[in-house]
Amino acid sequence: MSLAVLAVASCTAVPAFQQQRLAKSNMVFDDTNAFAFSSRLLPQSEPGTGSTGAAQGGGCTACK
Amino acid sequence: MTHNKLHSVRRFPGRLRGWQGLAVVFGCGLLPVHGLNYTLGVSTEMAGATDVLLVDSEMFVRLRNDQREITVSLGAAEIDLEYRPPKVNILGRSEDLSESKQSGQLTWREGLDERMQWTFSCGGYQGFTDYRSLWLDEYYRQLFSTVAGYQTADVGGLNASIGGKYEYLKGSGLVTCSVGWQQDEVAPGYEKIIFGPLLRGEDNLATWRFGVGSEHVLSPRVRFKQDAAAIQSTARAWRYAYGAETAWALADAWTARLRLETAKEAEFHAGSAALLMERDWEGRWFAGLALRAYADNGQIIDPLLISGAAPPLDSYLLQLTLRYAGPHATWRLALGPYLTRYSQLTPGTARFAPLYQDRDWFAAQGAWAWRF
Repeated sequence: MSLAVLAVASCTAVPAFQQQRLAKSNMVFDDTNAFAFSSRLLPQSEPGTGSTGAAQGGGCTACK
Repeated sequence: MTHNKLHSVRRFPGRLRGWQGLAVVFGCGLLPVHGLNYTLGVSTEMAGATDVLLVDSEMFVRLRNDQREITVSLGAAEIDLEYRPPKVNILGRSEDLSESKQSGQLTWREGLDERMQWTFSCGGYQGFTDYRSLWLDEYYRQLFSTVAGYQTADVGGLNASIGGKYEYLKGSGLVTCSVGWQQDEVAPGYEKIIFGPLLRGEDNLATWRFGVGSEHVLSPRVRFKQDAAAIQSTARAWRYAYGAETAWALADAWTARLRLETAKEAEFHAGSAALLMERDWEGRWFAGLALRAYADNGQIIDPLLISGAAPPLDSYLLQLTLRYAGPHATWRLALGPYLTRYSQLTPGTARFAPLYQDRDWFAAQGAWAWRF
């Protein structure tokens, strides 16, 4: 929580002429381009990865 | 609408051929041609171990102008699994299982030229989403398919979501919120009570996801993003998830990205950390090394109860990445080992040892996109 508040409070308006590094393709958070930092397969093994809420099937009647 | 803008809406771009023409027809009426561009992309990902092979591929077409963006994606995934029955199941037999999944998604973003943007998305899929579900479905099928009350699984799902994004500081800060719904038809578990009926687990799961997030420029070298979600699924406790990611330009040609994630659902806790170090040449070619570690405390609550719930897991990923970003084309290749290590099984989960065994995977990703 403190990290989140600190980030908002620290946000600064960076002039366009200083945004050269920030505009590089690997500095942009974009889930749709080739620089996406994610995997569609890893969540199959890791029940705590992927916050989409997608339900894993094959549960059990007495699961947990 | 000004005369010039009206004129541009009516005028189609110069030379349109083949699928480009089809794309314009698809977007006609939704996307004024002014500033219209198209992106075509494909990506594929595979992970293989001695008894499992997973392949997931996707292609998309995106039409975009100054105001809105429409993306249609189609996916196909394959699970190949060598099923070996647990030793306690003396009537069980080995099977080579192969299942495919098809999926489609439509995403519409509105207001790209405004501070407030909206995103609408909907889609669906048919087929098993993961190898664990497929393994458990075969396990229960071999045990109970001849018992009254067993039903063959017909797995699939639908989803829809709406989200908003507000840029409160132009080019430097934004906040997001979203609500998503998902309905999954899953392969349920079964339990046979002695002299009693066959009990069938929940097979229709509704999931609601409420998310908030933000992105900030902290300095001319640092960009920060965070997102949090509360997720509620049928017959499950609320899950809370948080992720934070930092992109840091260490030097002109060196970039580091760090992502931390955590999730909590009742007594279940999970966390992961990923670091990507990348060197670029002229902002076109990028080579990097990614490291990722994940750990959870397992989904088993009562170790004596027979359960298909997963035991505690640690996993490690090491990837070499090579990327290219040109004026029209971008592509990426990534490959490396992925290790999954489970804690010792409990008496209740010992029969699921073939499923929850340690595996040494080889993982690879490839993606390509072309913007017209």
